Amino acid sequence: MALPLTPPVFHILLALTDEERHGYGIMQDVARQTEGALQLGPGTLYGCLKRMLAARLVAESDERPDPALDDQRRRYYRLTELGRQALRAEARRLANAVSAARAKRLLAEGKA
Amino acid sequence: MARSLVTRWLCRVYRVLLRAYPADFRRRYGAEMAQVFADRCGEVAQTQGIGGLLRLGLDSGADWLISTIREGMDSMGATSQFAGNGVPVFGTVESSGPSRSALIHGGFLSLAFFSALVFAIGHGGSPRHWVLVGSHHPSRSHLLPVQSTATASTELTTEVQVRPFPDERPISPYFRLLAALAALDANHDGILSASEIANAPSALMKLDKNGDGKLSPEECGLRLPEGLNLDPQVLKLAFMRFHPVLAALDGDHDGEISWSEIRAAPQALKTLDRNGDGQLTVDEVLPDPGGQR
Repeated sequence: MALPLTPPVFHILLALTDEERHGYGIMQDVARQTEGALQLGPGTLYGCLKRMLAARLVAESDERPDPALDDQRRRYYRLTELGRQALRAEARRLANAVSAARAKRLLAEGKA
Repeated sequence: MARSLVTRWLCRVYRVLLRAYPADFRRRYGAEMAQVFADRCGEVAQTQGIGGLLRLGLDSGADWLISTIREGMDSMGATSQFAGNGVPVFGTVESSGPSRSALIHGGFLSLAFFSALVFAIGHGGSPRHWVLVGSHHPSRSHLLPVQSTATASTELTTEVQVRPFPDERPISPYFRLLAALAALDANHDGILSASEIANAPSALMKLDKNGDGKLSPEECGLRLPEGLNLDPQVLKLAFMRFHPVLAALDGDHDGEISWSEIRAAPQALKTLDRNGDGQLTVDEVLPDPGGQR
């Protein structure tokens, strides 16, 4: 999976940075990150996860955070080292793009 | 109450829609997707009510449409990647064969479809026209001699009849090229029937584009070529005399079909009916280049 990452893939990776999450948790976190601008549907979410698993950017988690409180049918996903590197590279690329936009006075200083 | 009803209904529809995904994808992620959708429905029902649920249904429908196409194409790509060396292969979206129940349903559907088709062919509204296209009668006079010991033990008496396709004879392009004929042949079957001959005045009046009550050669279908060093009047007269239908209609041969000639069109057209069957076929209206008509 080459850079640039698509917005859903980038935000899914970002959602998994802090902790392992199940599908619905990822969906909620992506909506939170983007302030509702990106609402992933189940088809898009699991299509992306399928490709990210194949590219080894994410992996299925063997352990459940709290099996007693959680639905056994849920699968949890975690970020791999490769996924973290890809996310970091993409974040750097986006930061450079934002800097370039600022230099051209397209964005106010200190604001995205 | 209404919210839970809509939620249940949406979840049920979504579970049905999941069947559109490729089998591998559905087996791996189908249950999770259904659960995620149900979770999302529950949240939206609590926070946004029925309106939010309906919006979620629409958004999820669009997501379903796009992702089924993408996963289907992915699945086909995964199948064909093993072809190698540039040889084209055929791929299927499903990696597994159809289930037995699907085969049984498909069989019944096919049977019903072909039964309906056979019934429609057998009891269709169009008249049947059978044409003899081949026959064999017990006669040896038309057989070529062959060096063979294999002879038929019995004489064959077989007639083969097939229904012509299309039903009607091919329509002469002449009926389409000449505007006057095209107007007269109201049902475009390439024959001027008795009723079309009787209705000739009204059909011809439709060609009167300038509304002067008469038909010029141009209104009858003449297209004068540009850059021709000939007197247009001579060409117009030649055009009206060349085509038998126009020559018959233009009783006074002045190069135009006047109002009185339009009204007398049925009688004029009947003069072309050489075999007296009450209708005009293409052989009766085609120009005779040799001037034998």
